[in-house]
Amino acid sequence: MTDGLLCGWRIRSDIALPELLDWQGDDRIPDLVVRLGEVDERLPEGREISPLLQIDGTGAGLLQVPMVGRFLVRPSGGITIAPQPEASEAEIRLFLLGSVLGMVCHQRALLPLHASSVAIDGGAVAFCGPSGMGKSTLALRFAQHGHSVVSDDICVIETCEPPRVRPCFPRLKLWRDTMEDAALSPEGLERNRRGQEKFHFRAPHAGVREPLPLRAIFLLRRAGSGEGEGIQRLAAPLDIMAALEAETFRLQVGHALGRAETLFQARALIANDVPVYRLTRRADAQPDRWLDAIAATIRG
Amino acid sequence: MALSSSSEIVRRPHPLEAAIGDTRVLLDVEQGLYFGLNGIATSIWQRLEQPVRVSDLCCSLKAEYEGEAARIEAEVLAFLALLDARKLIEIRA
Repeated sequence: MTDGLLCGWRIRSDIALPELLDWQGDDRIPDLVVRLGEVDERLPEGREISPLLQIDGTGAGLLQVPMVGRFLVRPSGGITIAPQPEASEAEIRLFLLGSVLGMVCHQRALLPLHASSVAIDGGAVAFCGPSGMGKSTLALRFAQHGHSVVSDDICVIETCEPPRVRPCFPRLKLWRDTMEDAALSPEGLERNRRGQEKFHFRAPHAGVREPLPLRAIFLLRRAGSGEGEGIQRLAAPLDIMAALEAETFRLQVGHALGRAETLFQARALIANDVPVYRLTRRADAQPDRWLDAIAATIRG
Repeated sequence: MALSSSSEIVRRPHPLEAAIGDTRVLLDVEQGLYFGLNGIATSIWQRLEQPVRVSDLCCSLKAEYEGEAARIEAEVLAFLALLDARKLIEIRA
């Protein structure tokens, strides 16, 4: 099996990761190595961060997902998975490319934002917001208009000046009705979880390989009753900092790994360099209605 | 400890700091609270990096900013009381 590309890392894996682009870089030793194997229930000297997660003093993490499996994530990049017999491959990948990826980001002092992102004019534009607010739907609509999907769910940010997004993979998790609204069929696609009406959709355009400058962040929210729709730039530094903190993927994991200061400085860097907008929409708003407004906002 | 012009003030070590535009943003990780300081507040905060007596702090501010000594002292004491209430500073004898 060929190695894959994930956020700039060379990843070698015992399980197939069809959503990733192939590694085409140098012949370096893989940065991340995923193996199937035994994983103990306890991490020796591990501290419980949540009922499902332990972290030890070396920065290793043990994630236990009922009905799916155990994931041991070492800071060296070695990842061992002990799947439950009933787990589907898609479910194992869901957690590997979700919670585990988030942990790897925190181990490596990157900022994982809970966001989907797409490439617009050579930069990455991120969409944050609570589940069901339309992050992946917007990314899908941009993809249907020829834009590359840079990330789904976790947008990995490298805090240099200007901040850059390391592309994940061009796969979106979409509900059946979202796909049908976009004239796509979920037939033949892998389910996100057994029995769930959410599917893994691979975006049609070639994925992005190199980091892209982070152009803008949109915080998606629903309009309250009587409230108008629109795009508004956040101006107050404290509002921006609090919003970025709220959108950080697995913030508690980052803190447990001693990254509070790095994450704070990363947020400050973004607050200084990248415009953050609040995009307020009504629940029944057509997703396509906002594509031009978003593009126009970015282009100023 | 009561706050007066003879008190010695020092920052508590916790808060993380960054400049965003003209605002000095502090985060107290333990309390999970953000604070934003502008203008003179930032200038006072910067002078608290090392322990300093309130009267000395007021003198150095008076040298930099025009103002009546009694007013500066009253405003500095009010601001320090605010920082103290938010556990950002320690007041020593």
